[in-house]
This record gives sequence, structure tokens and C-alpha cells, in this order.
Amino acid sequence: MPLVSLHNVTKRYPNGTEAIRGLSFEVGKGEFVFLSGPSGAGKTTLIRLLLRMEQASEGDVLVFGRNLRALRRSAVPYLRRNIGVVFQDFRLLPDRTVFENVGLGLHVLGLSRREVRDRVEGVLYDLSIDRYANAFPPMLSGGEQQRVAIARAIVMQPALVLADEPTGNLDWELSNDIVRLFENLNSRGTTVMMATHDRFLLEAYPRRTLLLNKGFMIEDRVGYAVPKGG
Amino acid sequence: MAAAKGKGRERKKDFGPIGDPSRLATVRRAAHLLTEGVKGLAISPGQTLACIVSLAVAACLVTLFASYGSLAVSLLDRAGQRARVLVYLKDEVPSATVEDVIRRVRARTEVDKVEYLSREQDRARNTALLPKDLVGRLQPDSVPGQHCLDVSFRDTPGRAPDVAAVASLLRAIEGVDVVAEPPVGAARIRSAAAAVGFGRLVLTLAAVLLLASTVFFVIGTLTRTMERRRDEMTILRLVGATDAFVRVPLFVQGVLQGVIGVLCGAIAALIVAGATNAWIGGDLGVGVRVPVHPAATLSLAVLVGAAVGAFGAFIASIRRLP
Repeated sequence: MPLVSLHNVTKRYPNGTEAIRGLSFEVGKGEFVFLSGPSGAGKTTLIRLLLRMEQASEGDVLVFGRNLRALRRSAVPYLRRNIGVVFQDFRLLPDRTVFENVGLGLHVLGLSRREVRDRVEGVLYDLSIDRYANAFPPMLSGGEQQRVAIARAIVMQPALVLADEPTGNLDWELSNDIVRLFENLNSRGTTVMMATHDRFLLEAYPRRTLLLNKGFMIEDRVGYAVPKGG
Repeated sequence: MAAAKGKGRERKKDFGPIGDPSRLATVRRAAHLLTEGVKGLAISPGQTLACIVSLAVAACLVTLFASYGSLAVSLLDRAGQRARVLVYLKDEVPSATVEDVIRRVRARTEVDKVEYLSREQDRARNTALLPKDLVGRLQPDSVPGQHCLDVSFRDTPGRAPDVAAVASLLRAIEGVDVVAEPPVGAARIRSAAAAVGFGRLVLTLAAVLLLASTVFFVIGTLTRTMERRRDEMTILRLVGATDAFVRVPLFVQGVLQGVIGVLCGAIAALIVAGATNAWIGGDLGVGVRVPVHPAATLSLAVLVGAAVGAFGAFIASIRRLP
């Protein structure tokens, strides 16, 4: 059974704009998939649909085999506990330490203080940011902040990680670091869907790529070829 | 209840492992939310303090208006009930007629006691009412004295006797010279008591409205908290926090503000009422004192404070929660 499955999904906003048009694809367990395309292609909308922050206007979105259209509002939190999400702008809380930022979601699970500490320290160590546990995000560089955001996403041990342009604010070196982190995560069985419009990254990491443009899926292929004139 | 629990389990099973399902985890969540609610008080300390002070002032006024108004009404009510009339008898009236008058007056249901005063006793009573230095300069028999009946009325709580009606009836009895009513008639005292009671009601209602309006302070403070915590709430939603998990700290903060504010106001009012009682010697001489019921007042304050805070949090959360 695929982990993510879309069937003729269209997302239309009240002003008539169609962010996604007739999109269909499947992502299996343990896959690493790039979502690519220019600004306005529909990458962020797709991620929002998978998180059930938005509802599809037409078609079905299935995550973990559940149709999100039929999902009750009260069940959405339980869906999200299995999905880690990373954003381009990190979305860290500036007045909380790195440790508190990463552990934020674990309180939702009702874990004990010790369990929270063990899990957070473990993840910070894995991502080589354990020395910043007591630092506040504004004291960190962009790359370090993004690592904290990734730590927050994976500390919940999700089956699926969605990353929306996580390298958008980072230089080439740091972008590589971040993608390698996601690859490492993927090698341990976590499904990763990462949105990016950085063609150099796509060339450097030949993985399955869903190329979107103006809401349509242009291409679904393994590896990436720079479009002509692109 | 069982069905609801079943649905909860079903939801959790749908999406695989989602954390610790034990009761201990629920307790940990509750403790975490309580802590977050307490922390919320410090997010905008100035606004929180202003909110608590306004709640305290409003609660203090409600309590004081209610208790002092009650005192004023009780005082006037007692004054009306303790009304007495003096029935002066003609000099030549025979003792048999006096006894007949006493018997007829005592027959009235509203009359409590009838006491006969001789001319000397009346003179002594009048002398006692005069300033001592004046009495010293007067001839003893220059102070007027007339044999009379001192009629006092029955003390019926909440109902003042109709002294005027009884007085006019007494005037019609043969042998009665003059019937002296109190300078302020019982009916007027009763009217004053009713007016004070109405004033007390209006003032108490005004104070209750003031207390209700402090809900806006609570809403304002919680809205500020939500603005400060908007990012945190958004992230919490993304990591799978339920509606309750996001809302409960707001309710905790609102209830804490409400309870602290109203409780402070009630305590201040109790202190003022206690001090008043101490100042007037605990009693105004007619068995009336400022009513002080600490246990009931404080319990009610906690309930009202919690209700005001929870209502404010509810309004704030439905308007602004991300």
C-alpha cells in the first residue's frame, strides 16, 4: 500500500485560482521524492494538502491509506503526529531554547521528562547540534537553525517527512548538508518528500522527482535533467 | 462515554504509534498545560496586572455594595420596627380609665409592650434628655411631666408596624390628651428603607455590570497572549496538538486571572467590612452589623472568578485561535 496517494486532485481557491490541477501520483514507503517546479507550481499547496491544512476541491488525497477528505477534524492531529514537517523559514520560536523548540511536540505525546530529554538529546546529537541545546535560535546560523527545525520534525519519529524548500535560505554547502541529512533519515526507512526549485540539488542527488508547473504535473521520473532553457 | 473512548482508540490505531497512551501520559499532559497556563500570566505582565486589579476593584465594589446596602436596610428596618409612641393622659382621668386604655392598647396585635409612667417618672425621663448644665440651672419642677403610656411595638423582622394608624386610634380613646409619634414616622422610615434597598440593588447591579465588563480585560489579555504565542500554536497544530491541547493553557490563564482578581477583591471587601464592625464596636446597638461571611464570600469569589476567566478565554479562543 502506498504511503501517499493522490487521484485527480484539484485545489481551487475561492478567488478561482487553481493551485493544483488533476494531480495523480503515489509515493511508497521508504521513498525519497523531490517536488520541483518554479514558484507558483503548487509545491507548497501539495504539502498543505498532505498535512490537511487545506482540503482538495476535487479528487482524493490518501495518506497512510486514509482518505483525508473523509477524515474528521478531530482525527487530524493524529495524522500529523506521523508527519514531520520542515519549512524554508524554519519557524522556530525565538524565545525558546533549541532543546525546548525540539521538544515542543513531545509534550503533545505525553512523554515523561526523561523520555523527552533522551529523545531530544539523541536527535540533537545525530544532527551534530547538541552543543546548542541551551542556545536560542537567533544565536544560530541559518544552517544550524534549519537543523534544529529538522530535529523538531524527526524527534516525533514520523513515518513521513515533508520539507517545503528547506534549503531555500541556505548556501550551496549548507543545502548539501541538509539534503544529506534527509538522505540519512530516508536510509533508516522514513519516507521523505522534499520541495525544492534548486536544479543543482536535483542534479547532485538523482532521486525520483515530480516536476510541477502551474499546478500540473509535467514529469514524474527518477533523476533530473535540466529543462531546455532552464 | 464508552463509545467516545472507543472512537479515540480507533483514531489512534488508524495512524500507528502516536505516543504514550497511558493515564500517566494524560496526567503529564495536564501538568504541562497547567504550567503553560501559569507561564501565560507572565507574557504581558502589565496587562495581566491591570486585568487582575480591575477584577479586584469590581469584585470589592460588588461585595461592599451588597453588604453595606444590607446594613443600611437592616438599620432602617429595625428603626421602623422599634418605633414607639407616648400616649399622654389627661390629668383628671381616673385610674380605672387608665387601666381600660392600657388593656385596649395591649389588645392591638402590633403592640409589644405598654408601660405606665407617672408624672414624676415622665419628668425624670425628660430631665435625662436635657443637657446636664441646663438641668443644673433649672428648678426641679420646671421640667414638664405628665402621666403617660409608653407604647412600644412588636419587633417583626422585615415588616414595620403602622404606627400612624395605631396613633390615630389611640387619640379617639376617652382620657387620652396627646399622642406623640416619633419625629420621623415609621411609614417614612419604611419608605426610606425601601429606597435604600432599591439604591443598594442598583449599585450592586452596577458593580456586577462592572465585574462583567472586566471580561473584556480578560479577553484583551488572552488575545495578547495568543498574538505572542501564535507561532507556537501554529507549530503545535503541525506537530499534532489537539484543539484542547492548544486551548487549555488559555483557559488556565483566564481562570487564574479571574480567580486571583475576584478573590483579591473579595478579601479586600471582607477586611473593610471587618474593620467597620470593629470600628462601630461590632454592633450598632440594635443588633445590626455589617454582614461578614468569609467562607461563603471566598467560595463564591472563586466560582465567579473562574466563570469570568473561563468565559473570557472561551470568547478569546473562538475569535483568535490559529
